[in-house]
Amino acid sequence: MSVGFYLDQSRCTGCRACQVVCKDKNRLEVGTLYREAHSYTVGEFPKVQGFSYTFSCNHCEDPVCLKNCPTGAIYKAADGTVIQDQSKCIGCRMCVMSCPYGQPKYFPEKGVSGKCDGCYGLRQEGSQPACVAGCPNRALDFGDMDELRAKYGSNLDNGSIVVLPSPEETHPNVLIKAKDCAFSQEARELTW
Amino acid sequence: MNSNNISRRGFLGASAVVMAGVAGLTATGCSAESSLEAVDKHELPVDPAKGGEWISAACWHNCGGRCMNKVMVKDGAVVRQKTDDTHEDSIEYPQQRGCVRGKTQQQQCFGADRILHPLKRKGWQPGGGEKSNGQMRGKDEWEVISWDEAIKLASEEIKRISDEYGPTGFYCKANNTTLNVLSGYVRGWDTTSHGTYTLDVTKMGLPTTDCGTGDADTANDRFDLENAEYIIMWSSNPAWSAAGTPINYWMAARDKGTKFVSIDPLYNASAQMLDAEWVPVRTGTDMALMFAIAYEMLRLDEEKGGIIDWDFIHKYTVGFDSESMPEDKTIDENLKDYILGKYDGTPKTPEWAEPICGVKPEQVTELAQIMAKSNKVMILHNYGMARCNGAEMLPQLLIALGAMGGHMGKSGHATASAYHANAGNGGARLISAGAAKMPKTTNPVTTGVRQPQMYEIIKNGGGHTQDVSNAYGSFHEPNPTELGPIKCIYHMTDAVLQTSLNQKEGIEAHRAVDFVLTLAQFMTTNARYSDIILPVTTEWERCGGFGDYNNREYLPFYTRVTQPLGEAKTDQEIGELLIAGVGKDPKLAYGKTEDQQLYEKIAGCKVMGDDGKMKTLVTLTADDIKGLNAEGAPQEGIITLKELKENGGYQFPRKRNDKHGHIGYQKFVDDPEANPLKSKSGKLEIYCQARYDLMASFGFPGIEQYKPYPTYIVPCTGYESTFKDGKIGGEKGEYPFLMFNPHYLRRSHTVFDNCPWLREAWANPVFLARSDAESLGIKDGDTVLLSSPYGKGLRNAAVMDVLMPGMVGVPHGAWVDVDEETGIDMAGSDNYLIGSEYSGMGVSGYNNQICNVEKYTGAPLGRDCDKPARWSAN
Amino acid sequence: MGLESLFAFTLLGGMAAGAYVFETCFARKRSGNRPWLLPLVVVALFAIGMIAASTHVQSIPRAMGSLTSGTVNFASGMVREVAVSGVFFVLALIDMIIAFVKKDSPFALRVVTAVVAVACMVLMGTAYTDVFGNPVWTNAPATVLSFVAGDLAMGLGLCAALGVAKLSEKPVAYTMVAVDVVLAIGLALEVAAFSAVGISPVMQVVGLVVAPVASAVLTLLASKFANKQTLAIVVCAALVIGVAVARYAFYATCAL
Repeated sequence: MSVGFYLDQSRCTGCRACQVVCKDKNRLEVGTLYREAHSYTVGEFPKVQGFSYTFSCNHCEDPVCLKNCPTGAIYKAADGTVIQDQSKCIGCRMCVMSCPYGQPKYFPEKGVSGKCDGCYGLRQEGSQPACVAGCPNRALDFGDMDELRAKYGSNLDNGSIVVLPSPEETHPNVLIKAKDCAFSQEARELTW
Repeated sequence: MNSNNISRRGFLGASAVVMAGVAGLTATGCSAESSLEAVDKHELPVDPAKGGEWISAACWHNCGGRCMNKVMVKDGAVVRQKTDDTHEDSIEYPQQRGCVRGKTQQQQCFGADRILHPLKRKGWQPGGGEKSNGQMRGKDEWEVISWDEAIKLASEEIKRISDEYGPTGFYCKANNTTLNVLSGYVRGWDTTSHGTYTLDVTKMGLPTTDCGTGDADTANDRFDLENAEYIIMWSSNPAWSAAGTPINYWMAARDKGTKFVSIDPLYNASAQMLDAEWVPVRTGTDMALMFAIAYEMLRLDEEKGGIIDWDFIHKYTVGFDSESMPEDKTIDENLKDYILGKYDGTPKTPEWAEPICGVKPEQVTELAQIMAKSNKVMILHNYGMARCNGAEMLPQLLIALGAMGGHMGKSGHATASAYHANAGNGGARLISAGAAKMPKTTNPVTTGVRQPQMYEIIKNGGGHTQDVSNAYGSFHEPNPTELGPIKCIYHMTDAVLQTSLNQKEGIEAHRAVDFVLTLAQFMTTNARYSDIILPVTTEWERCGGFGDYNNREYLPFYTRVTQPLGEAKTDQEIGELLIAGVGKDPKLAYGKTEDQQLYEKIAGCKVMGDDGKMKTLVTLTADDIKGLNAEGAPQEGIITLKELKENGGYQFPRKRNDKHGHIGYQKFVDDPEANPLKSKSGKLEIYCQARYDLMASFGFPGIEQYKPYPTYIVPCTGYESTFKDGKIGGEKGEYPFLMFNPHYLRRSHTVFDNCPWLREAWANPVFLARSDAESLGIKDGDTVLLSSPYGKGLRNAAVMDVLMPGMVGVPHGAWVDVDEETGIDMAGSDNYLIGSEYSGMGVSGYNNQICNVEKYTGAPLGRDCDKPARWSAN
Repeated sequence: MGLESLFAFTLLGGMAAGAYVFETCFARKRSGNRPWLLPLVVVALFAIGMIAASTHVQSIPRAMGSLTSGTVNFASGMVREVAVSGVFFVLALIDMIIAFVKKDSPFALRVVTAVVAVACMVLMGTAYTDVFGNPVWTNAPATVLSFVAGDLAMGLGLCAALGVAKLSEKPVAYTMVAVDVVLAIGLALEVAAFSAVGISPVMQVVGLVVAPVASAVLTLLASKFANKQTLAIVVCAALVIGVAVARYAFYATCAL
């Protein structure tokens, strides 16, 4: 079984609500983000288009963080969520270095790394992941990949928009209702 | 935030190259499947909030939202917050989800930079004159004093100033119950939020500030957006200015096929998300564009017909053409003939407008065709363009454009505002909060001073003022007044030193008085330039309340999250102490506990019934009332108090085609005789004598340029001022850029600027157009020096393709941080760069000031989120 | 840089493993006053490397704990590297002790240890090739060739400097040149990999010149040098410095 995120780029404005609610849920200080939203534009004034993307752990089918973690602290739950058991982390940072999406983060003061756990604990109590529930634009969803595909259709991108590394490395479980401009090599970050 | 692993990696464009042969070595071994065994050896994550209690918390800011916000506090620490999950989410009955700022609310209430004890500026002594050592305000050190001492010092100083100077010896921008009793005060007024729309647009037939309520709401209800073929978003960015639920209504319309046009110097977040067609327009030049669109509509209508709804114009408006002039006109001029150039020989063609507003003639023609009567068009405007020098007559011109296409009073059409919590959702309130009956207090002073001029008067020890208003949006015949010295400045609930123009002079004014008393939660701009700071609680530390001024369907209710932190007290507690301190009776202002007031507010909540009448919302038993620490009679409603608390308020369930829809102007359009507007003629006055006469009576400089109907005015400061001799197309002057202040998602005006997660999420750069940045040698992220005739500031550059060249965006609301040695503001305060110049009818030009931009040769600014907080509780 | 500990480990440990391999190749029987010298140097270098590597880990008790709780992950390149390194170290230590006591040790033991040493050098390289977050590291040919050939080259240089193999002898010389060629190819591939992601390859070029190029040239011209010992030391130094420079830059591409 696999779970992952769905993002509708036609609803995302890059407002960072998901980013901040994730910091709240995971009690992260300034400097560490498990989810970060960015905006991009394609084209030159005045013919411009814009898209946003919110980067997070993709609970990959073949997670390289899990493969490279020496102590086995990173594991897959039965539903496919890729979870790190921080109590077993030895701070070697292999996960941090391995992830092509730059997802696991290192906490030098604690000597351990950490990552998104798909709000596994919240979901056991019947809630959605904090970012999904907290998005005012309803751009995010999370769940079983087959169910997401059934709900949102088959014409979804699987992580090959221009701001992401090739999905062929770790087979991320992400479904994106992508804007056309999100595939343009000319995309530039909008740093407002 | 660079989260990539590679140290100078740009884009994650290329995938990793793994040669087939050697790849075999790395692909061996266990797959993820086999590590399922590991699950047994790990404890699965749990919800940290399990077993705790969620409290509906206040989210009470002037943000355009007021959404549901819940917090869980365990053992004195915030576990986390959440937003609305009280019911299934649907577009008909949407969850009232909060925005990025609401999620940071905990860093406000529980912030490490809260001021928790009364503070006194070390260099200040009561008694006035040199004792106050005013020059040190903003640079001095602070000492903690007791409440007793703080009240004693403040009261004695207030009494002294009262005795010597009377009530006009004090100034406070906003109306305040405590101060009405304490001493009285001179008020400030400004056109602030609604710009020219505060200048009594009821005289032309619009509701106050074009934000009507109930039947007077000129915007249609949200389900009707889906019926528009085009929505023209004029100076409008609901994704940032009404963050939370409203933008979903625009998306619902988009999903049904509505097309969007965005007229804005910036291709803003809402426009990008909706894939709107962008009409880049120079800030402050919207009227030139409007004239040109009207010209094109006239021309196209003449040439092929079918564009202008002449019946609508003649039936519902006055002043558009000579056929439909108002009776009280004093000059025989109308808008149509002005546009055609009959009076000044200059037809307001797209070619005439282009050098001013920058819009290409083809796009003007396209807009004219879109706005034709045959299309279902909604023109939804916000107020950025109204907050510009020279925008005085914009409301009359915009309504004329809408009327030309007949875009009012019918489904799928509108010419209205999309403002704040009511953005995209017009109509009668379906739920309202009660009010506590409180003593009526009156300010003994009726004088109001135009806010940017206030600082001059304070610095000059008094002076002449044309008193034309002492309340927001409300004007009267001028009352020329000589004011004596103002010796004390109060900051109670306002943020005026940060949010008012002419900030540099404002700081000097603060340094000129004897005493500055501020209630604050943080070392805000107001607090920084004060003498005594009294720590006030946030709404999380109070017994509870309602987030009123909300969208028509939802009333947030919040309860106490925590007891007051430190020694913070509520506004009322502080007010009572001050009033008692000067020997007056606090009951004159209050006289009821806050618990009692809350009970009265709960008891008075009303909800729309099936019969179209409002009825009682909350059932209150005797036990409930006792539990609220109040006295009152039990009552029957439709929900229990427990439900009100748990659901964080009440949301009226809506459905498409329920009987709670609304079409703006419908009654007027259906029967203008029976339902006249509030103007003299009962119609929409494009030529409005009454509005003009009142404003002209103020005698402000430059009024002689204006007429009772819209004409093009060169603003006192604006695009023309960027040229050396004030002539467009000539040589650029010393300040060649036009500056505007977009509302920014880090803040709600000034609130939240100090919250670390928001400082990290939203960097607060200066917005620069790419071609401008390139010609100035500025790269994205470079530190840039902004200078205006009034001040200087530093910001890092965000170089973008979505900003019109020549424009500079300085996000609104950052707390000024002046380097006392250089005089340069390090925080990018918008108002530090703006002065007090005005003309015409008194519109404050926040959004069309001039500035220069250059690469800064000093030390790079660094990120705001890396800077230490400006105050620590230690 | 944050990865200095790993740099020290692979540099010193790799050099030690390479030296062990070549001693096994070129010194069928250990002879001389100090037959235990090279094994001692190998063990010492490897020990220092392992201690350095251990500082990369923030909690040794937890690392041990993963063994006892059974969650240790043998699919991880790092675990494989550590496991084989451990085996090599133990065998090299046994070899050193026997050599100390008995002046020589069974060739079979030395061969087995040398094979483990080869595996160790290879695994040191492959520990990086699936760190997908770093497209320089994941260039497997560049990484593995540079690591293995670099370790072998440094190891052979160390053998020469310690007098265990003589550069003036044709088999040794040809081996040195061959290893240099492979190393040069590996470093050239690294130059391409760095450039492909917009990072300056200058350090790899320096490494390429100082290590394989210089050592190959000096080796081929060995007959021209009277003091063979000095030549050996110079070649060893060039190899170690050159490989160190390139490998430091390799680690520096990771923003930790």
